[in-house]
This record gives sequence, structure tokens and C-alpha cells, in this order.
Amino acid sequence: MSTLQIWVAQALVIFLTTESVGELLDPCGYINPESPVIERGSNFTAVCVLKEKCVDYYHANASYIVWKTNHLNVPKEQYTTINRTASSVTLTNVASLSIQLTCNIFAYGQIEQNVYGITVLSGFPPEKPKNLNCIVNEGKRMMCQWDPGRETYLETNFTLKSEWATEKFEDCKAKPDTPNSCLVSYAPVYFVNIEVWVEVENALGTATSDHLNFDPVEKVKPNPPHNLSVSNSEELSSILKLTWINPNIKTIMTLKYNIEYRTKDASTWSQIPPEDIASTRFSFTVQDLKPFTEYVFRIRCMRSNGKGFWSDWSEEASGITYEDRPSKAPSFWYKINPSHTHGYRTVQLIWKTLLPFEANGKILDYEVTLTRWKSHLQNYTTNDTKLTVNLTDDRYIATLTARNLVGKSDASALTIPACDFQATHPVMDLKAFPKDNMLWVEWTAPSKSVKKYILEWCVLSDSSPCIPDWQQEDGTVHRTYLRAPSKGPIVRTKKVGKNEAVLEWDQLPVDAQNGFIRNYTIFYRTVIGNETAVNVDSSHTEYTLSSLTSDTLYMVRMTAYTDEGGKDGPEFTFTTPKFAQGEIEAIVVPVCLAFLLTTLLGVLFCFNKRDLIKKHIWPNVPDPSKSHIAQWSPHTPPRHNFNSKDQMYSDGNFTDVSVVEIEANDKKPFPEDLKSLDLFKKEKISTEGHSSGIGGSSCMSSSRPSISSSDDNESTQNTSSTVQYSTVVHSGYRHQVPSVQVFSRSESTQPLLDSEERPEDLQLVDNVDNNDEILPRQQYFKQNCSQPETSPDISHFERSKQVSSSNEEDFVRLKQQQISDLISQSCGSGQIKMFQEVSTADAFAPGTEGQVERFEAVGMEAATDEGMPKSYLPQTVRQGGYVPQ
Amino acid sequence: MLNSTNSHRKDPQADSSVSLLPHLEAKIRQTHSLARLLTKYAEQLLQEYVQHQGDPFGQPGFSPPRLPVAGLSAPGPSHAGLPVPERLRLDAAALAALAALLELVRRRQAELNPRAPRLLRRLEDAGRQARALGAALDTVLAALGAAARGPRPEPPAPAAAGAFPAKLLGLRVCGLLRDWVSRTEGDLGQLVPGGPG
Repeated sequence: MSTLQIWVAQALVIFLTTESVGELLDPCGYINPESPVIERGSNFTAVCVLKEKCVDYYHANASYIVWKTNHLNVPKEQYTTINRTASSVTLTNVASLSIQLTCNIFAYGQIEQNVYGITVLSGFPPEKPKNLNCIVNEGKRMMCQWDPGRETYLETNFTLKSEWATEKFEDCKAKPDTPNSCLVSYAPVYFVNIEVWVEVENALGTATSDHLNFDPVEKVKPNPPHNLSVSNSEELSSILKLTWINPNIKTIMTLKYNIEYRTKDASTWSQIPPEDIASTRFSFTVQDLKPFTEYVFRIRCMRSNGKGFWSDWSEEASGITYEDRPSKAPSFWYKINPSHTHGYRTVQLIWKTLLPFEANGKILDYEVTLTRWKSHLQNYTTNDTKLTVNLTDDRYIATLTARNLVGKSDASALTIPACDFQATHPVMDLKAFPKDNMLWVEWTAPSKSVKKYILEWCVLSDSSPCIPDWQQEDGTVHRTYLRAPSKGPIVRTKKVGKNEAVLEWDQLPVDAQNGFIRNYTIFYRTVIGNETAVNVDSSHTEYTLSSLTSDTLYMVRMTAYTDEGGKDGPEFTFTTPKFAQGEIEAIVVPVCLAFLLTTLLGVLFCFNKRDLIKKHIWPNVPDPSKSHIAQWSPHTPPRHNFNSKDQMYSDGNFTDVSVVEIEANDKKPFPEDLKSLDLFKKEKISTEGHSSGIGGSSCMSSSRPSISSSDDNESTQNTSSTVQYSTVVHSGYRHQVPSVQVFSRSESTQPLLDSEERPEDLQLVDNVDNNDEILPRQQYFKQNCSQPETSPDISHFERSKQVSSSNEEDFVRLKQQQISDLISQSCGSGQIKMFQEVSTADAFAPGTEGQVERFEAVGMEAATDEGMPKSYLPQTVRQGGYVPQ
Repeated sequence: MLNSTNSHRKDPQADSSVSLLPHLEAKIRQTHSLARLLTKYAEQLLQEYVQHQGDPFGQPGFSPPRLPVAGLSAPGPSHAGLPVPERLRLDAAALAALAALLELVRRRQAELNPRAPRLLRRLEDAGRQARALGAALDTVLAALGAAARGPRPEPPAPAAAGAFPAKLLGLRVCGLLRDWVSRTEGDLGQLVPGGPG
């Protein structure tokens, strides 16, 4: 219900609006006719009629009317005032396609106002369509075409009408963009006459074409024969058999054909006589063809009575006739080597290859027969075009035949005269001259009959030697010319790589060869580079240029050479790519893999050495307030449990423990070793200068030496020569007195904190096998001077190691000196003497406790000087421990 | 001069009678070709019709009875002894009846198989072609001097029946079309120069 109300409301609004607009737009007059269409060039008269109310309102009448065409005033002469309200205008010879004609009025005698306007269209009436014709493409609907006549400039409709005698068909209306044809909507029915015609109409009239009555079968354009194939015959080298499949229309009509053929290189077609193929068939044998020649064929068909249209040409098909025996004997000649030895002479027999149309196939070989005294035969077979033989001075008859798959050519006979033969009746007046771009040779024939002539010549050039060539002519001629190819081969690239390019070209057509193509020469160059020439055998149609530069523009051309000269083909350019195929992938993939592998290994390494990395980059700084004293007892087994090499090499064992072995040696050190010791001393000085704080290296702690002696008898010999840098740590903390008096041992004043993390680091190397002495010493240097500036120490040590290997005793002395020097550098002048005494005594009198105690006191003083807490004060120890001062 | 005029009057007639023969021969050949073509079309139509009727049509053992169709009889052996023009007259009458029956079948098939446009189009074409062949026969008969006998009565429209009888009727009509067109081809073949006749 509400919907209905809305509709009613909308309708009311539209009605009222229309009414009001109609009133608003109510013109003061109108023009008659309203929408005129006139013939172009004719006259046209229009009348403008004013309404009475406007005449009164504007105080105007028909004499105030002004006519305009396309905004331009029409001359007054063309006006006619019919009465008070009507005025007419006549336009003569209207040529414009469209005219805007307006009727205007001067309101109140001066204000021009538009009253009404119309559009006058002009054009032509339709002409009678001509040349109506229809075509029935096989399998498709019928299409009719006609000549629509002149342009009408108006909307014109073309309708194709068609009917049988019994009924009418649906009209076919031509599309505006193709007013000259129409495709009917129904399938044609053959053998029933149909009548078609075209009706055309526009605003100016209608026209009808002549009626066309025909049987659609007479308007058929068949589909072309398909699957055309060509086969040759081994029995006859001059025929090729064509077979094809006819179009389906053959079931309702007989067909006739056109068959055309040409050789592969030719451009013009030859035609099979039409009368030979005037009825439906599916094969045909073409005769009188050249042997061993490739022919191209095509075929088309139409209704045999000629009513209808030819089909399109079929796809081309080609075939090669079978071989035939060579049709001509090869040209044959000889050269005699001037040298003559032992009654024999060397004769080179030479001959020319046959042209393709003479060879009639692929020449397999040549057979040469030499005859002397008509009885002595020598036979030779060769693939080459020359043969060198040693002959006696006698006269020989040489014959030559060329053989292909089918048979042999006729024989060329050549007489090789005896050595003493004197030629008579030579050719006279030999002369050569250019004419018509050819080099002609002319001579006067001798008086006696001639079998054949041989012309010999060479190219005279400053740059190349005279290479004689020859040409055979028939005995009846006395003039000939030397021919060169008329055009060069067209080279192109088959494949272009980074450093190579495969060129290919087609064989020159026989007509363009003008002789035998002996070879091709490929010239190629870069834009700035020199031209390079490559000779290629004439049998090739492809060549690979190698050693090219990548990403470079190359220009290449080819020249085909006959014996008479060469001819250039067009130049061809190509650019080598920057990268070979797959090269980018070959570079990128391994790099990515290597990067991935490196990253993976780095991650694995970091993961494995995370503790070490952490120590160097983010050292774990212990909070002193949370430290406690590790307990240590002289009887603690780890101190002596150091036989395992793993423990010896463990970093933890040496991080906080410094060990110097001093071996007894009576001999004096070598001067070189002393030098190394000097260097070592300097290094120690610099190392001390860089150490500081609780996080400092153990090099610092080594400056607080102490000597420990072991009560282990088995290890007395070793431990007696060992100086252990250690620090005695008070077991109390923050003035707290431990319940049990325990003494801890450490190498420095600070590492106690570190040792809390790794108590095993407190283990000392006391029992080191003599055979392994080098390693602990090396370990010592590495551990105590592992900072970058310690690298010189390694070389020093290596020198020491050499000494050690050569002379153990000397090395002990050297070590003594080394240690004493080290201590003198580390501990200042006040302590040098004492340390030297201790070390020497320790080396030669192990177990001297008093000396040890003295040295221990020195260490204590040094610790006190650096302001160490009281807990680090040396404490009294029992046997095997530290002796208080 | 008069003789000459008379002879001049007479000659065109003689010429026209002479020229009529090739025209008649061409018409007979054309009609014969049409009959041969329509025989092929009729066979195709019958096959397509069967395909669209569902079971049991098209099954190997299905052999419906050859029911009589009102207004159209099957070409029978009794016509064998008739002269060719008379046989052609019977052919033309049958083709005219078939054209109407094919239109009837097309309308029923449009109801039964609305989604078989090709069949419907073939039925429509077949009716049109039957009319065309009948008209061509009339032309030939007229040329032979044996005009067709007056207006042919329209075959009575069969009463509305069920789907199956409608399908059976269509099958019968298609079969009759094939038979009659084939017989027409044979009858015309006797008139074609070089033919069996």
C-alpha cells in the first residue's frame, strides 16, 4: 500500500513538472517541416509560424522574423512574408550535410530572440545496388556482396532478401560498417535454386538490386585439399608423386585442380596442365623433373564445371627427386712437375666438380684410369678432385668418371703427352678484356679441329701469389668469360654465446653461383677492432666463431668465392651477451652457499666458544661482596694429581696459576739465548705497565712471585726447580675469624674472586714430566702473557726451545738466567738480589725452606705495598705449605 | 520474303524446344542431386532423432511397429510397375505430406526435447527441403508435360497423444522421409541421361 502511494506521488510530481516545463518551453512559434531531409543540391523551403500571443507580447509580426543558418543571417531576398504570423525562407542548392536553421524575431523591434530551430539534413537517395554476388564457403553460411553505390550521407539500410520457389527466408540486414555485404543466418541447401536481391532504403527513397537466382552449389568455394605429401620414385628420377586429401564437398560435386610447383630456390611457379587434373582425384604424378632436385608443390580445387570459386592454396609440400647418373663428364686437366728424376715425372691430374644439375646426385668418388701402350692399365679411385701420379716419359691416356649412387658419368679423356712431345698449332691472338662486368677471354682457333680448350689463369696481386686456375671450354668456342657469383651469401646467427657465435647461411642459388663455389670467407670485426677472416669449406652452411669478447658488438659478412672471384653478402651485426647462459647462476649460487656455510660455521664456532667469548667480551665480574674463601689444604689431592695431559692443557688449570720451571744446568747460556731473554725482559716490563685492576691478567700476578716446594719425594727433582707464583689468601673475610685455621693459596692478589667460579683453576702443575717440559713452559708464557703484546715472547720461547732440544743442561742454566732476569725486571731492584738467591738456591739445593720463606716475605711486602686487604697477608704454614716470615 | 518471315517465326519455337531439352536435363540432374543429398540428410536426421528420444529408442532390439500415418503411405512395391512420371507424382505428393508432418514432429519435439536445438533445426530444415524437392519434382513434371494433379489435401493433424506415441510418430515420419526421398532419387535416376532408365 505504501509503495502504491509512493508511485502515485512520484507520478503526480512528474506530471506537474512536465506541465510546468511545457509551459516554460512553449515556443513563440514553430518551423514547418519539423525534421526535413532533402536531397543534396536541391532547394528547400521552410515556414516559420508565430503564435498570436507572442505577436502581441513582443509587438512584432512576421516581417520582424530573421532567418539564420548555422548562426549566419540568411539574405533577405530569400525571405517571403506570407501573412502577419508566417514567414518562409528558401534555401537553394543545399550542399551542406547538416544545416541548423533558426527562426528569430526582433522583439519590440530591436531585441533579437530565437523562436524555433530545426536541423536540415541533406544527402542522396540510395542507388540501385549492383554486382550482387554470393559465395558459399564450404562448411559455412552463404555470404552475399554487392556494390552499394554512391555515398548517401544519410542513414541507409541494406537488406538482403532471399527465397526459394516454395518459401521465403529471413532477411539479412547489413551492418552499418559493412553496407556492402551480409552473411545469411541459415545453412545453404545445395541443388535448390535460391533467389536473392538487395533492398536499400533511406529517408530519400528506396532501391532494389537485380534478382539473382542460382543454385548455391554453383557458388561454392571449397576448402583447400589438405595433407599434401610428396614422394619420389627410385625407378624414375624425373618424377614426384603427390597425394592429398580432398575436401568433404567432393561428395556432392566433382572437383578440378590447379597444381603448381617450383624448385626450392626459385620464386616463380610452374603449373601442371589443367586438363590433366580436371576431375576428382587424390593423387597425381608430376613428370619431367630434374633429378636430385627439391621441388615445392601446392594445390587448390574448385567445382569441375567451373561454376564457383577456387579454394585457397593448400599448404606447400616439398620433395626431392631421386638421383640419376651424372649427366656430364667432369672437366679434366693435368699439371706436370718440372722436376724430373730417374726417368719418372710427377703428374698431377686435376678436375672440376660437377654442377648440381650435372651431378644429378651426391658424387661418391671419382675413378681415374691411366693407360700406356693401350694395354697397361692403372686404376685409381678418390674422393678428391686431384690425383698425383708418377709416370714415365711415355705418352698416357687418362680417363675420369664421376660416380654417384645410381651410376657413373661419361668418361673424360685426357692425353698426357710423352716427355719429348712438341705442341703444334698453338692458340693465337689470346686476349682478355672486361665487358658487362665480366672478364672475357678471346682467341683465334687453330686451323685444325680442336676437342676442347683449357684456359689457365691466375689473379695478379701484390699481396697474394699467382695461384693458377683453369677452365675447360668446348672445342667449338673461341670466346668465353670468367664468372664470379652474382651475389654473396646472407649470413645470420644461429646461436650467440658469451664467447662464441654460431653463424649459418643458405647455399647460394645455382643461378647466383656462376660457377663452383670453392669456399666461403667469413669476415668479422668489432667496431674498433681489426677485421678477421676465416675460410670455410663450400660444403658447410654453418660455422662457429670462437674466442669472441663478451658484451661486444660484432659485424660479420661472408664472401662466396668461385675460381673467378668472390662476392660479398650483406653485413650482419650481433652482440655477444655479457654472461654466458647459467653463468650468473654459477656465480651467485656458490657465493650464497659459501656465505651460508661461513655464517653457519661462525655460529657453530661462537656457540662452542661461547664461554671464551664471554670471558673476553663480557667478562663475568664477580661481586666481591659475595665472595667466599675456597678451602685449600696442602694435602688436597688435586695439587699433586696432575699427571693427565688433559689437565695440563686445560685452560682452567693455567688461568690463575703461573708456573716457571727452572732446571739445573751448570752450563752457561748461549749468547743468542741471552738476547732472547733480554727481549723477554723488555716484554715483561711493558706487560706490567698495562695490567691493572682485579680483572687484570695473570701477568700481573706473576710479579708477586712465590716459591713453593713440594714434600713429594718423587717430584722433588721437578718441583724443586719450579717457582710458583701464588698468593696466600686469608681464610677470614671482613674481619671474621674462621673456626678452623685454613690457608688458601693463590697466584695473585685478585684471582681469588675468579677462582670461586672455577675452583679447579687452583690446581698447580707440580709434577711435570721432563719430556713434557716444553709444553708447560709454553703454556706458561701463553697463559701469563696471552695479551696481544705477548707475541714477541713466543719467538723468544721458540729460540729457547731449540736450545732445550740441543742441550738440556745449557737450557737449565738459561732458564735460571731467564727467571732471574724476569724477576729483576718485575720486582724492582730491591728484590732482584733476593730472588736470584732464592731461585739459584732452589735450582741447586731444592727444599731449602728458609730461602723459600724469605722469598715469600718479599711477595708479602709487595702485596702490602699495593694496598691489598688484610686477608691477603701471608700466614704461617706448616710443612708443605707456606712458611710465614 | 513471307516464307522467310514464317520461317523466322517458326525458328524461335524450334530453337526454344531445342533449348528446353538441356534446361530440362539440367533440372533433372539438379533434382536428382538434391534427392541424393536429401537421402543422406534424411539418414542423418533419423539417427539424430533416435539419439534424442531416450530408451527404448535406439536400443538394438527395439523394433516398433510400422504404424500407418494418416495421409501418407509408405512407398510400396505396388508402385513398381507405374511409369516414371506417375511415380514422380506420387513422390511429390508424399514429400508435400512429409513437409507438413515434419513440422508437426518439430513442434512436438520442441516440447519433448527443448534442449536439442540441432535436432529441431534439422527437422525444420528437413521440412523445408522436402518442400523444395517436391517443388523441383513439380517443375520436372511440368517440363515433362505431366502436370501435378491439383491441390493436394493437407494430412489431418493427429490427435494429441502422449509423449511415447508422439516419439513413435516422429520416428515413423523420419523413416518415411528417408524412404520417400530415397525412392525419389531412384525414380529421378531413371531420367538422368546415362542413368539406369
